[in-house]
Amino acid sequence: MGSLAFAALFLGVYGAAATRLFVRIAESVNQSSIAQIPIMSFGNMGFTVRNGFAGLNMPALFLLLSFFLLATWLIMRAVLGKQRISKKITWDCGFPLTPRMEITSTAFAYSLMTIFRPILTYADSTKTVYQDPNLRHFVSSQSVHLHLVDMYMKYFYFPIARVFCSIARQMSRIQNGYINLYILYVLVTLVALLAWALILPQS
Amino acid sequence: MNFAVIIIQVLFVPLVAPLIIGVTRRIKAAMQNRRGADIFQPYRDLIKLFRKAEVLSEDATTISLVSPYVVFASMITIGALIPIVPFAGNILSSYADFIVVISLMILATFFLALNGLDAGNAFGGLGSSREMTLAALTEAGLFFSFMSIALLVQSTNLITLSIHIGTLPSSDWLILSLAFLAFFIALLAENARYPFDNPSTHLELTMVHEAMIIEASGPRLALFEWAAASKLLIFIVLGANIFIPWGIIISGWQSLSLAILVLLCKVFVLTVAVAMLESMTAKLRFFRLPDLLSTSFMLGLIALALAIF
Repeated sequence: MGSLAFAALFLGVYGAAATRLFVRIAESVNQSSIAQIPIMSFGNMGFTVRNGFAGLNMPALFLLLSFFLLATWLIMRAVLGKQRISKKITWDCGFPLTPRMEITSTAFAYSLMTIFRPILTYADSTKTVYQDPNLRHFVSSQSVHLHLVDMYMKYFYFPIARVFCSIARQMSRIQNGYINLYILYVLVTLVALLAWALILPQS
Repeated sequence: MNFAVIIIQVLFVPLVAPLIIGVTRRIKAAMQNRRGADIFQPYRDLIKLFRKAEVLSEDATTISLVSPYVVFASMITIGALIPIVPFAGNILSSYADFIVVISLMILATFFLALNGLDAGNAFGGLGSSREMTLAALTEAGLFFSFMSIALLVQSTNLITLSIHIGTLPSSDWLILSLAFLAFFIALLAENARYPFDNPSTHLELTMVHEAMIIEASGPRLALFEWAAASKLLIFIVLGANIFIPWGIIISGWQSLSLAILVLLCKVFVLTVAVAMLESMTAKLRFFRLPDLLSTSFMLGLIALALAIF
């Protein structure tokens, strides 16, 4: 994981140089010159968009950020000396804090999911089992099921897949296993091609 | 000249930022019929925090140790890049792309959110969740607002934008004002100001920014507070030197000192505007905030559409 993170950081900082290498690979496959695309030009360090509209030099920015990071740390160290840090329990507002109280990924994303509810349709259902189903005073178990509907699957891939499936079903009718019928297809195709060949030169 | 401009660029934001917070608090106090603290109080608060001993959570990891530095260094980097004194000969000016500036702000927000989650505090996690929700909704409006002006000037470089924006014909002022409105809403949202967040709250239910730094103390809390003040100043400077394009041409020492003076005046006016707005509006319920942020998004989008066509 660490090496992957480092590779991601490296590619992020030296993205322009890496893109130059990728362009060379693409050119060797495609034989046409992608580097001639007029919209962007890649240097060793950064890239610029046509006519200098925008430019990015990631290594320089990374260096600048690292410099200020180091400078802040050094100045703090020089002015304040070595800080003594005491370790105490996490602030718990009077409750004994347990890992169950920590925020979960569902809770973290919940506000965004609520705001984008019309787009990110999600379904939640709560199931409660009572100790006495008639009185419904004491809960014996409770479960919440949260399910996020995959928008792309529901409204993009599935409809496309349905169209292709219905076309395929229509096509499957001509394939019914009778060898006589297949010979008839061959005959019809040959006659059609013959007719086409006869008509085409005249037109 | 070049060296002097770089020194001013790097030092202006961290040195002036606490003063902006002091002025904002003073104006708010005056609006509420209170005497209020001295405008230099935030400096004293920072010094006090720097001198204090530090307490960290037992569950905190390296993230808690590192994130205050990353957040603060990001703000200093942005401060060095943005057009405080827009001088085209400045060596850093070629890196001052607005997309870079927005990305560095997101980097700071990301580490701030990680800091909120790190110690396992329930409020910290909630604050991080709220902050990321707001950030996701704010960035689009901010991006479109800058992009519409970038299309007018034909450059995304902030120094170029700042220098050339004054030469735009008056027919483009509609786009400029729409973009400014979108930017101003984003300014309030990004800096945890009213109606998005209460910067002085310590009531857990309403906290966004304060919840994320609830586990920080001593010098690390000071860095977070200093970075938050710097971020407000960065936004105000961007508003002042990009959307109010007067008094920013630098050619010599005299014009440099004049430009700083004009900038300070513009910064003061915008600070007063933020403080007045804060005093006159109530904090909105969290799930009402997307309405305001979508207004910023739509204004930015309209400005962008007008700039394209």
